[in-house]
Order: sequence, then C-alpha cells, then structure tokens
Amino acid sequence: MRLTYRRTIITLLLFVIFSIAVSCSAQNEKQSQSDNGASGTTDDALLSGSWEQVLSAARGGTVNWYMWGGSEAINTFVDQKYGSVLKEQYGITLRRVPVSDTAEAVTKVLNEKQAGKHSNGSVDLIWINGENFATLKQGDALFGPFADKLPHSAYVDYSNPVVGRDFGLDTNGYESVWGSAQFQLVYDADRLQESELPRSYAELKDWIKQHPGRFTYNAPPDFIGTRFVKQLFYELTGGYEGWEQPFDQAVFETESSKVWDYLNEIKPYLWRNGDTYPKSIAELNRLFNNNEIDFTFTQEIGGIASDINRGILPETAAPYVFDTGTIGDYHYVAIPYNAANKAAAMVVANLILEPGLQFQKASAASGWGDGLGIDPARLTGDLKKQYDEISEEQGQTAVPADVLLKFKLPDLAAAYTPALEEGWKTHVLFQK
Amino acid sequence: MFYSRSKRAQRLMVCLMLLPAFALVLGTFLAGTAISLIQSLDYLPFIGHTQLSLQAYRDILGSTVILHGLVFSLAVALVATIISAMIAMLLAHLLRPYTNQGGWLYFLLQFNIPIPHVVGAVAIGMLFSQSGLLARLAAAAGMIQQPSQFPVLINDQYGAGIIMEYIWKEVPFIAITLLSILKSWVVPYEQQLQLLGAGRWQRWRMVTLPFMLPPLISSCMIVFAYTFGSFEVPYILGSVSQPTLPLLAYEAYLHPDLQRRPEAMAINMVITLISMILIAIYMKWGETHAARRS
Repeated sequence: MRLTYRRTIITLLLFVIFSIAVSCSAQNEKQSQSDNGASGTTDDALLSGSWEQVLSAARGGTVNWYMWGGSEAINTFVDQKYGSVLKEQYGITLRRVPVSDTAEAVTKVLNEKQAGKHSNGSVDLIWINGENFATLKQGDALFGPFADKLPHSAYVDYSNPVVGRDFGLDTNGYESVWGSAQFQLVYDADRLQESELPRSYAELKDWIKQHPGRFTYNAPPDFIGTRFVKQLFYELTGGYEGWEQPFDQAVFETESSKVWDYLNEIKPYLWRNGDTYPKSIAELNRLFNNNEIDFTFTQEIGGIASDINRGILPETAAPYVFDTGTIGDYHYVAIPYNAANKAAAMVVANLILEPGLQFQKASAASGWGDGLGIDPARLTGDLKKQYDEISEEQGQTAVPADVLLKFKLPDLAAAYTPALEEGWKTHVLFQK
Repeated sequence: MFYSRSKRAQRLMVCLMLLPAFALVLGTFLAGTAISLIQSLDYLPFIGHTQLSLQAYRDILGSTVILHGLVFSLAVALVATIISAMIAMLLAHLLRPYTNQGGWLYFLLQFNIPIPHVVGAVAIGMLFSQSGLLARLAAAAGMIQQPSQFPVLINDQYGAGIIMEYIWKEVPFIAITLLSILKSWVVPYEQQLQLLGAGRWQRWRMVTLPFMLPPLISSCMIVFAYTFGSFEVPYILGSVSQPTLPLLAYEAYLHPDLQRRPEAMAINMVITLISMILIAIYMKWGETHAARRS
C-alpha cells in the first residue's frame, strides 16, 4: 500500500518535471517565432522591398558574424568601430564569432541544413573567400541576391570581373564586397639590402640555395601558403592566362609537376630542411621576428604598419612584390540561407562599405591596412580628397598602390585551389 | 522516499536518477556516432548523395599518409602513456611517506588537473620551442650562440613536444590514483608481511605491486585512449609533416569540397573503433579483476 503511494508520487513528480521541461521548450519556440514575426518581413520582402523596410526589420537584432580571428588588429577594429556604430545608429548588436578557418562556419551552416534547421540559424554573416563561397553554393545554402540591394553598393564596381567573380565563380549578388588584399613579401631592411632581394621565383630559388635554412613558407591549405604555391604555378606554367578555362585534370597534372620539382629542389635548403613547415602566417611572422628566417608574407594592401606597431614585425620590416606579379583579390561577406537576422546582417554588409569606415580600415593607424572594397573612381568631393590623403600617408611600410596594381594577378578558378593543396601534400610534404 | 526499503523501488529510483545524465552522455554519443557512420558510408543527402558505399574506407585504408598517421598516433599515445606511468609510479612511491601530512601534497599534485590541455600545449610551446624561453635563456647564458641552435623539441618529427605535454598532464592523474591505494589499502598487508619477515623487495613484489596494478592499468588505459583520440595538442605542438589521425580527420572535414566529408567520417570511425576495443578490454579485465578481489 505504502509502496504504491510512493510510486504515485514519483510518477506525479516526474510528470510535473517533464511537463515543465516541455512547456519551457515550447515557450522558447514561440518566443523565437514571435521574434521573427515582430520583424514581419519575409526573405522575399527583404530582397524586393525598400531599404527603410530592411532597417526597421533589422532594429533590435543581433548579428553573429563568423570570421577568421587570427589577427588582433582586425578583431579590435570590428569590435570597436563597427560594433559601436551599429549599436548607436541602428540598434543592432554585433557579436563577432572568431574561427580559425572559415570552413568551420561553413560546416556549421551545412550541419544546420542537414538537421533541418531552415530558419533561425546561428550564423548571420560570414567573412568568406571564393573557396568557401563555392562550398556553400554547392550545398545551396546562401541567401540572396542581396549585394546590389545595399545602398552603398553604389560605390562598388561589380562590373569589374575581379570584383564580380570570386575565384572564377560569379558572385551574382550572393556575397558583398568588404575589402581587398594582395600577396606581398616582407623583408627586414636591417638584414637585407634592397638590391639583393629576389624579384621572381627563379631568383628566389638561387637566394634560398645561397642562404640555407633562412627561408620557409606556411603550409597549404593555409590561405597565404596556398597563394605562395599558386603564384609559383603561374610563373612556371607561363602565367595565369592559360588557366582561365575550366579545370582539366590531365593538363593540370603534367604542368603542376614543374611546381613540385621546384619545391622539392629547394626543400633541403629551407628552414629545418623542409622537414616541417609553419602552419599559419602568425607562426611565419614569429620565425621572422625571431631572426630564424629572412622573409615573411602579408596580404594587407595598406601595408604592415599595424603589425609593426603591435610588435609582430620588427620596425625595419618592409613589404615588396615580385616583378613577375602576385595574386590580389577581393574578400566578401555572405549571409546563410537560414540566418536568424538577415535584415540586420544586410545592414552590417552595407555599413562596412561606407567610404569613411573603408578609409579607416585601410589606414594602419586606425584599422589594419586592408585594401578598399569600394572603387576610388566612384568617389567625389570630400571623399575623394580623403582618399588621396590616405594614399600619401603610408611611406616605407606599404608598397605604393600603383606598384601593387601593376603587378597584380587574378586568382584561379576555385577547383585549382584544392588540387594544388592536395598535390602539395602528396608531392612535397609527404615526399621523403 | 529516496530511502524506500523495497529493493525494486530503490533500483527504479537509481535508474531514474541516472536517466538525465545518461540521456545526455549516451544520447549525444550515440547520435554523433550514428551520424558519423552514415556519413562515412557516403550518405549526404544535402549534396545529393544517397547511395551507400564503402569507398571512403577503401580510400583511407589505401592511403599511406593515413596509415602512417595511424601508426604515429598509436606510437605517440603508447610512449606518452608508458613514460607517464613510470614517472607516476616513482612519484607515488617517493611521496608515499608524506601522505599523512595534510592536504598540501594532494593540492600540489592536483594543481594541473583542471588546466585544459590547450593551455598546457601553449605553455610547453612557449618554453621549449626555438623561439621559446629556454632557448633564449640558453643563448643568454652562452650555452648556444643563437636561440635557433636549441634542440628541436616542438613541431618536431618524433612528436617530442606532444609527448612532453601529455606527460606533464597525465603524471599527476596516475600518481593520485596510485597514492590513494598506497595510502590505505596496502598498509595492513604490508605490515603483515613484514611481521612474517619479508624483505623490502619481497613486500613490494608480493603486495604493493599487485595492489597497484589494477588502478595503474585502468588509469593507463584512460590516458592512452585520450591521447590517441586527442586533437588540440598535436594541432599545436605537432609537425605538419607528421599528422596524427585526428588531425587528418579534421583536415578532411574542413575540406572545401563536400565530397571529402565521408573520408573524415571514416577516419573518425576508425578512431572510435580502436577506443571501443580498448574499453571492451578494460571492462572485461575489470570484471575478472573484481571477481578475483571479492
């Protein structure tokens, strides 16, 4: 008798606990639904309606911006400059989510898609490059086309193929420009004379052989490491022009063998005899700063002043480019198809194109030397004057913009990137 | 009501109380394993793959890089476990006489247990790399001319840095397990043996070691399984040309081409399988041991 009494109590208690749990989760769902409802705007309305509608739908939203978190300068700039403007002017909370590889954010979106979470996804905005853009396109998981709906897209020249195509893939408005970058080498003027700098991969090979142990490059699939190999691929196979047609495995294999031969030839003369390679640009910078190697790389068009100020690079460091050219490209932001706050994400994408903020980002003092995403030719009046002033400021810590432009090479179609990364691993890294 | 006298009610209560923890631990584990398994069989509906195939397994078993990674992972885990166990045993014996002198000893021993492996790995890197503290001190003291002449211990070909981190982290863990046995269980038996005239070595061989062995082996198994499957330490301290199995899985998983996803999952399944075999051995061994003791 007592036993059944106890059992009833236990059952009742459990029932209560369960129903509380269930109603809680139901409440949450209702809550998030009403969040969506309050904005009252569907995806189509965001794309076809007026900008005012987007702004009102964005108010009070939170943007989870997934981005590579490896640079302190970039992190600080995003948090302080964008974050405060968004909060004050648009009532939007910006939450920067650092990832070590953009692929992590892409994977998150695709996992949500797989799990059937087609709305209220956790990623609102991704700082993206062509490789990952191609992955999200493959998984059909992007929101858009939204880029030309942004008022500030008037400053962007999407008709320029370098802007409108990302790794050979048409962006079609599914990603919006943020900035630009170009591969440059960095040396220390205290250790090397400008006259002895190698100006091409051919000269680099001789230099490496004369200075054993003083050079290395960061291992692909690190973005900049891949770029180092890709430019070598251009130089040894007669330029980028030959590689603009669709990927052909057979042609690629015969031609790329020249790249592997070159890299294996220099391997014994590299840092630690090429037994291992630095994994990231941060590691490469550390070796350079510690006087273990004589070259590092940068992608910042505005120069390395910001890294010098932070003590990441020595004060006498200076960037330069090969006469045979280096790869330059634009970088973008994209919104996942299931983002919880698409309107707010669009506002962020628009804000980061504002000329004033673009200039601040490009300056080494207030930003991190990132190249402009907007087209300077489209600026007028005061903005034009500001732009000219900034271009004059940079000095030794930056390669002049016209020199960069002169030696700028476009990137290859997306399919070449994994092919070169795989090839490097099998033919160079694991080649004993 | 938690103290019901009925055996059945008690058992039911225990089961119910365990349920939330079980649902969380087992549920996520099983769901994760199930998803890995079907994805490793190339079931990826979001890119239109619905035909099951064993291709990913054929690929990874045919890849010298992956087989090499497997051997390297096993070797690193084995060496780290054995060295940790030996140091821990020595430490436990040395510290044994002081165990009655309050909590400070245990505090010292345990201080690094809550520290995450990542922090340990970064610390080891900052100490032992060629641009690290020891290299700089050695150069400043004139033992070497430049920091870069310091022996290569981090990102090296033999996993020395990885092994050092595991030892640093696991020695206290094993030592504490051993000390708890040495402190209480063994003492009366040893005294008995001493009365019977057994020497030091005899006492150690006939009582101390047999008592120490079960916790030693079980903690070693935990350490081995952990180090074998761990990702962050080899990621930070390993060399790119000597990847461990979890690193290869991570790389394949993050590959921009989604077709490579099954490969990542197949590597994960291999790691899971090896860990499961270890658990099976452990449980089987644990049962026989418990039976012998009682």
